[in-house]
Amino acid sequence: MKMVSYLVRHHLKMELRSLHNVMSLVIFALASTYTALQVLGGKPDPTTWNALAWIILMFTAFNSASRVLPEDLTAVRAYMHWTVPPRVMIIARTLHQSIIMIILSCLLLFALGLFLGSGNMDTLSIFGFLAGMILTAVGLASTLTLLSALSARAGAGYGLTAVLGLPLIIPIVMISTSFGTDLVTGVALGQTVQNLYYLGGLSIAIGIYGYILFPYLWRS
Amino acid sequence: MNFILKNWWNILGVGLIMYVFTMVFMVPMGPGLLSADSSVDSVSVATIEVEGFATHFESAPDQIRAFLRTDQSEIIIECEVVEVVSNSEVILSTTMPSAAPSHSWDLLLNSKNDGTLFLPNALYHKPLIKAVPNNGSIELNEDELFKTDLGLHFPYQPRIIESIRNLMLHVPMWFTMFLLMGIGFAQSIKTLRKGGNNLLHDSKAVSSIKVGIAFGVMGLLTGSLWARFTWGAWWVNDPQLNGALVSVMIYCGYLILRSSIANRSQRARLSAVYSLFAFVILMVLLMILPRFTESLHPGKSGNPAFSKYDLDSSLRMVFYPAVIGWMLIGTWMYNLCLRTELLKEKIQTKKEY
Repeated sequence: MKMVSYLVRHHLKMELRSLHNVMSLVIFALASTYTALQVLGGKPDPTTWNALAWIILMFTAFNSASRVLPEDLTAVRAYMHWTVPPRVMIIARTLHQSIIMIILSCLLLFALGLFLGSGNMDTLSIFGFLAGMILTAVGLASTLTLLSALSARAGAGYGLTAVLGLPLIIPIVMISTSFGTDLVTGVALGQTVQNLYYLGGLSIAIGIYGYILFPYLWRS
Repeated sequence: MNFILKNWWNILGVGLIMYVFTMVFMVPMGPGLLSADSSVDSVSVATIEVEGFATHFESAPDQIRAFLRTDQSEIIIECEVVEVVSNSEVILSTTMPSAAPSHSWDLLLNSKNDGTLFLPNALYHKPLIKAVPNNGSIELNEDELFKTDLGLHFPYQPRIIESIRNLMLHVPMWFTMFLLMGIGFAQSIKTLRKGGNNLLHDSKAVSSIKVGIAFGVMGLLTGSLWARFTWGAWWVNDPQLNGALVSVMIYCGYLILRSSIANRSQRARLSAVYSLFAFVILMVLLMILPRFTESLHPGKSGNPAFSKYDLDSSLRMVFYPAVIGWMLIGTWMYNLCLRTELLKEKIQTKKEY
């Protein structure tokens, strides 16, 4: 546990030291939202707004997963291999990725609200939407962390993450988009809140599965 | 004799599939009513043109009796047969009562060769008074009607009609795919347990998944054909269909992953990890997600396939052998694929040294 928190803090410290990595993700999210505003030329209708939100979140997640983490470099991995147990490694990586993604999804929702309006949602629904985004971000982070580790080990570059990841995240995306559609079309949060439970359950299930499988990936 | 004993399950599989194809194309469809064209004139005389499917009206035109009843069976009135146009078309007429509890009427048509046929909501007529009348309704005596033994036939179902035969091809494809992906799942676990050094399990996993993908693609194609007939489009945006397509795509990703790793034992280990992941997502996509969402696909809310009461005995007689037969054929294909896989490996190692 101590090791996990140390590793996560270490990772975040590294992120802060070379801020350009995270900043490029932030710029990506802001720029896509702004481009959407330019293309649409005004406030979109709620369903378009919903689609844009999830698509940008999804691509941000892919971009975030495609950053090269230091422990994927061969030399560092050899060192990590002897010092950090793989289970600690996957928890730390997933947490680190999730924290980044949660921050990014908050920023994304803010940017969406700034440029494209709130998609006709009341305050409660916006918080519900944010909760859905955060849970989706965690689910995407845990799936893509495992896959990026896998494609790093395969030595096939990060194009493979996208090829393998896109179909695998479909269940999460299906639940979250239907949740978002409910919210923007005026369904009360209470009537569609079960989608949040499904999202949370799926995220946890994927996290546990990654936890079981990662050691097999990690060893050489 | 030795050959038969050794290959009994191959022979059984081929035999079952031959039986299934014979039955699928030879068993006739049972009769049913396709549609009714009705009009009611100013003096409440209704004329109904009934179109039947696989019916034999002309063989005994005098022995056709037709009844209209309201949807809760409060009133039953008998219709007069005006004209039998052809084997599949008959014109009826009757005087509508001025008082009726509802305005939608179901049609019952009894004839000597087809038994009793039923068409819900055949006629709409707004009654003058919305009430249950005291007289005018007749008692329908079951014994007076013909009970016909039609012999072996597939049941008529509205909109599905002849395409019910696709049941024996479409559904077993998915069952077989699940079986093969299950084999792939088990073999992947074994690969990981053996630490990636035992490559036999990996070869088993990849060959079962390859054959599984083939069955999945066949399932998609037969499903698409069925969708064109019953829903009017080759593809509809539906959770069950999307789930099926995505799960086939996920397993194609498995093959892409394998082809991108050169080291043999690393390939075994990494692709095993991916395949375990893929199997769980397959289960989520095809078994769990469709139960929470609305879908056109039959058997929703509880069971993502046909529910029990949709299958009658004649369908079961073909459906169960079809499932077993396709599964046997699938396992046979898996065995052949495994053998080529192992031979390829042998050639590969010979080349390397």
